[in-house]
Amino acid sequence: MEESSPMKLEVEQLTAGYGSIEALHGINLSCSSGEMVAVIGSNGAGKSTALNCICGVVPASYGEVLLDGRDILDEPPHRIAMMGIAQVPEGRRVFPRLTVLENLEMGAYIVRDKAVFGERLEFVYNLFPRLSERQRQNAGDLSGGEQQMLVIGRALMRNPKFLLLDEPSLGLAPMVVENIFEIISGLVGSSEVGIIIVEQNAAMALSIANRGYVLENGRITMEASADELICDERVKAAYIGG
Amino acid sequence: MFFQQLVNGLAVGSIYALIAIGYTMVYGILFFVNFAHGDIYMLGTYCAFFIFGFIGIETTGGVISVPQFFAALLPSMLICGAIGMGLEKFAYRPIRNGSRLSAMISALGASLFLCNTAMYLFGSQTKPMPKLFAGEYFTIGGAIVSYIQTAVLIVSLVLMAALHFFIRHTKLGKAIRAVSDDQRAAVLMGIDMDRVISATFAIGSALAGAAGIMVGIYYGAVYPTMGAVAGIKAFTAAILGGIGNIPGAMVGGVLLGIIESLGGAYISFGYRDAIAFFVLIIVLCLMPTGILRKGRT
Repeated sequence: MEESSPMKLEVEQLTAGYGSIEALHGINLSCSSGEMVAVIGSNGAGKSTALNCICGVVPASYGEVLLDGRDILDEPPHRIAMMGIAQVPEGRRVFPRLTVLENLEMGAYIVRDKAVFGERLEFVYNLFPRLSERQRQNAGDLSGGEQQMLVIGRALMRNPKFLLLDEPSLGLAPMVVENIFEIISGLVGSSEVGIIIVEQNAAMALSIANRGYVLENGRITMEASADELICDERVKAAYIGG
Repeated sequence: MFFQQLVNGLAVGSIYALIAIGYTMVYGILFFVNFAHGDIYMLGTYCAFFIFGFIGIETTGGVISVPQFFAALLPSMLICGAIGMGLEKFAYRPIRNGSRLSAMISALGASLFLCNTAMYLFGSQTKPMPKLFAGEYFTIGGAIVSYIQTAVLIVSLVLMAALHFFIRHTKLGKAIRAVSDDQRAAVLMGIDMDRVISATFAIGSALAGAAGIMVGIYYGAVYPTMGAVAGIKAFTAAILGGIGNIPGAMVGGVLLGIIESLGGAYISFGYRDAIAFFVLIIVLCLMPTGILRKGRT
């Protein structure tokens, strides 16, 4: 197998926010393929805005988003998706009136090769066997946990280089969250995908990440390995509790 | 008489259904009513009028053959589809991120523009259209069913079945449904919104064009303002079926046609149009989401 150098997603001096959008005041962060990075912070700190700017669905006023050195900030969102960045949006956002299988097909919208599609579908169904059981059901009829599995699976259908997860634990029962995080952490070990996970559930996110950032009021205030952050007194007090 | 009016209503209703699909598809994706849609239907009739002239058919009292009908139908649908795409590109795309009110005003402007352009180019007087079949008919259960009514029904059903297949089973059709469910999520999949919206306008406009030709032949007339009443009736049909819902538009169209025919027959023919608008008011007041809801979102 050909060994390729790891890809890098770098965010530099990213600045955004007016109106109802949470502000960002020049944040820097990066993620390499095969790595999992957690961005923790309280509600309204700008976590979702950061991911939305990277994906091009929210405009940035200043800064750069570099995918392997190439600035993608001015590209339209569907082009950014085609370059291999997949966001799993907050609040799940399945296509409720499409079936589970159709949702997955939309995840692979940019995949033209039928054989590749089949492989990806098998991969996702192996990861989430529940989805294959429910493939003919409307996504709107799934439980919250199943919908979260579906949106992660949907993003993985196009074999992205970078997967951006926005609050995957939101509104789910603890057991379901644990199950989903186990699967996410398995992805890091077994594939080349780089993952940026944005979470209010800091303990959970840091427990499976390699590195972490703390985002406060639109600024990165700490950056360290996940192990260091988890033991940090300030992080413990503010985000982990107890 | 009831059965006879049912037959008449079915023929007219299937045409309302074809036009209503365009309203409902655009609304399902962009959340505004494309008021220029009725004018595209009118342009469809003119397309056929000129194609018949071009192939040398006498419009006054002329009779076209079935192949000649299709020879006009297909190009007219293509032309209307292209006009619909152009309309979206020039009248709606530049203000897509603006308010829905500006889109609506632009739609009203586009409607006036198309209608008046047609008046300027083709003249404001009513022009006769040739007939398909020279008034032949058959009878079932005492009702007179003309060949043209049968043809209208068959062509409409085939077009609606084709649309249904397209929306259900093709990649672009699924993308249209995905965009209608959640635009932001669809864009994150790499779905090109511009392309999906363009396709939506093309399909809706082509179907309106097909409806235009059939109405022109059915009633034997074409005139620049014909889109106004047909447009608002089809809009009523779309509301009746639940705006944004494609099967709903089909059902709503047929239902409205039947209500109108029966009302016209049992109350007074003169009130036919009033009955349609009465239905619109009742539906908007009592069940604004229509008889088939858009489904959970």
